[in-house]
Amino acid sequence: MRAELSAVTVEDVLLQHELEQFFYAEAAVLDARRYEEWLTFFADDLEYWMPIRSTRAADDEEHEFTKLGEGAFFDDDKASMEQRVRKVRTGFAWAEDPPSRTRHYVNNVRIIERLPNSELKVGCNFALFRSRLGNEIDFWAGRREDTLRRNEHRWLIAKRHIFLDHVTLDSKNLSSFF
Amino acid sequence: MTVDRIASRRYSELVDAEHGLVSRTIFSDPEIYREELVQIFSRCWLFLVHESQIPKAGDFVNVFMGEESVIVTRHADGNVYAFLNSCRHRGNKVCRVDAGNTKAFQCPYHGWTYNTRGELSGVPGYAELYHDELDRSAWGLVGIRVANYRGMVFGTFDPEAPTLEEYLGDMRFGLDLLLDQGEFVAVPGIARWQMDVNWKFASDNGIGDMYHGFWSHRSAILAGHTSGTGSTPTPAPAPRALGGFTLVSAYGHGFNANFLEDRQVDLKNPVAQWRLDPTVQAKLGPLRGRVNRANMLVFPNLFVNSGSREFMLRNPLGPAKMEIWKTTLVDKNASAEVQRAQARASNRHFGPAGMFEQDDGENWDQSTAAARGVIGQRYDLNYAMGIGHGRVVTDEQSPPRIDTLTNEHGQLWMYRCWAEYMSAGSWSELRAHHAEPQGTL
Repeated sequence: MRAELSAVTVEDVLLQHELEQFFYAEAAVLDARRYEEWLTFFADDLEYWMPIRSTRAADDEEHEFTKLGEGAFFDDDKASMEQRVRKVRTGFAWAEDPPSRTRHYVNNVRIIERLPNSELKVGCNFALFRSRLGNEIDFWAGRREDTLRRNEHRWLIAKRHIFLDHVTLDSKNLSSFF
Repeated sequence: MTVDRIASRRYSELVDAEHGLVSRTIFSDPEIYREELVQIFSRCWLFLVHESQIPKAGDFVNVFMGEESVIVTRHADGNVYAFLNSCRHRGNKVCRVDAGNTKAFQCPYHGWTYNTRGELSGVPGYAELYHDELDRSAWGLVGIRVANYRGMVFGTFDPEAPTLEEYLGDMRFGLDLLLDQGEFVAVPGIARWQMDVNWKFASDNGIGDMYHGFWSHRSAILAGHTSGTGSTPTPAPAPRALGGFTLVSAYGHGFNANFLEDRQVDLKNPVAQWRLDPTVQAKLGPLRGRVNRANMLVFPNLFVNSGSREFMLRNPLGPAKMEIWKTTLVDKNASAEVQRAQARASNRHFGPAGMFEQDDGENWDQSTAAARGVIGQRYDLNYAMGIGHGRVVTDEQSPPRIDTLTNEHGQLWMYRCWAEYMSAGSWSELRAHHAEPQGTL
């Protein structure tokens, strides 16, 4: 993405608007607990991944996040995400029944890289607020890198990499979707 | 059964092993919690790391023993050392990162410096300000006794503690069920998360709560999750008396192991391939060869799952707070593809987002909250399932065991041993007077 104002084209502005609207729509679907509809935002070859972070010395940054194939909080594909949604709907998913109340915030949306086949690597910052039962509060913040692909109808998320700004989570679980 | 009871009315009243009753106060009372830090966490062998997490000289991991911050290192001599992460000058942490590789640990306050064996190797102003009089050999980091069981590194603060082998005792039969499956390395990444839970609820779940599976984890099973073992459970409308066995051993350990019988094993699944290895089967023998997976507790707070292969440490942080550390093992000699699949199976199964584990947090949190009320505390919790029916079998197949799977013998055993630790004045007293499984539990 170009930094100079003069270099911005109308196409850039329209694309930025489109991407932001895509993420806003996704957030609204999640907060409304329309999880089956949320799954339609994903490509069939989805890679949904949240690595584990650790506190490292300043000269050891390369080990701060685990890599694909190592320990992870989420290490999912489309089928396992479908399984997660089925789980919520069974009537026995105690961590989400009664349901949590969530609010997904997405900002700082920017195109990181234009990939072959018209795919885009799009970065954003996110905040996820969860309120549960009476007064249980969870708050997660971080950064996402999504690989978006356009089919003839719409954008699809082919990869979602979620980098939390937390090391030790102060949450009894991660039963919310990011 | 015959039990050598340690003469403390207080703790033996809080745990009524005869009737299977446990007082809720032991999950909420701050004084009991402080006492646990002294009587249990300052005394037992506590799991630190798997040795593959610190393979090279200078590697270290910053861990907890009870509430104490502890550094575990691999020194240049090849040995593993552990010491309190606390500068001897003002007490500050000399290591504020989770892991890495270093030659020295340097206190950020005044610069006292320690090597990876914990020795005080540098003191700024040693000649000019301390007049060469500070005995550096006496002011190293506080050392901790360390021992290794087949790659599992443990530490204890208690110089009187028995050897690790003696401490683990018959529990080794359970740990070997995992460790005999192959040669293991820990995958990078320790998942850490906190919850408002008394550590014992997590431990009693780990030692043998087969009863909760069909219900707590019902949503995951109905959704088609395969439990990380490569076998598919049958969704059951009610708990059944499934095949398997229960084993408890001295000093609070125990496990339950379910048999494969009514499960479909996918032998193409990477986590199940050890079943095809005849040398592994020979090591395990006929009894353990039939096991789907074992849920194990190394007292006080290490949960081990032989199916999806994790070490899950539940560190106490107060009467109603704990932090879980999840470390996953994969086959050292397997292909990258198989290792990848093994890590993925564990990632999806356990951890805060795990298909199984997310519902555990919800339930242990609720158990802990319910232990707080002064009225609720008048009513003991029921740990009596199967009591009086747990015939301890002694034969050549295993150390003493009980040939049923779904029962509360393990949990009750853990609380009985908990009361022993809480009442005993020393390890010599514990070694002389502790329960051994015999007769009928």
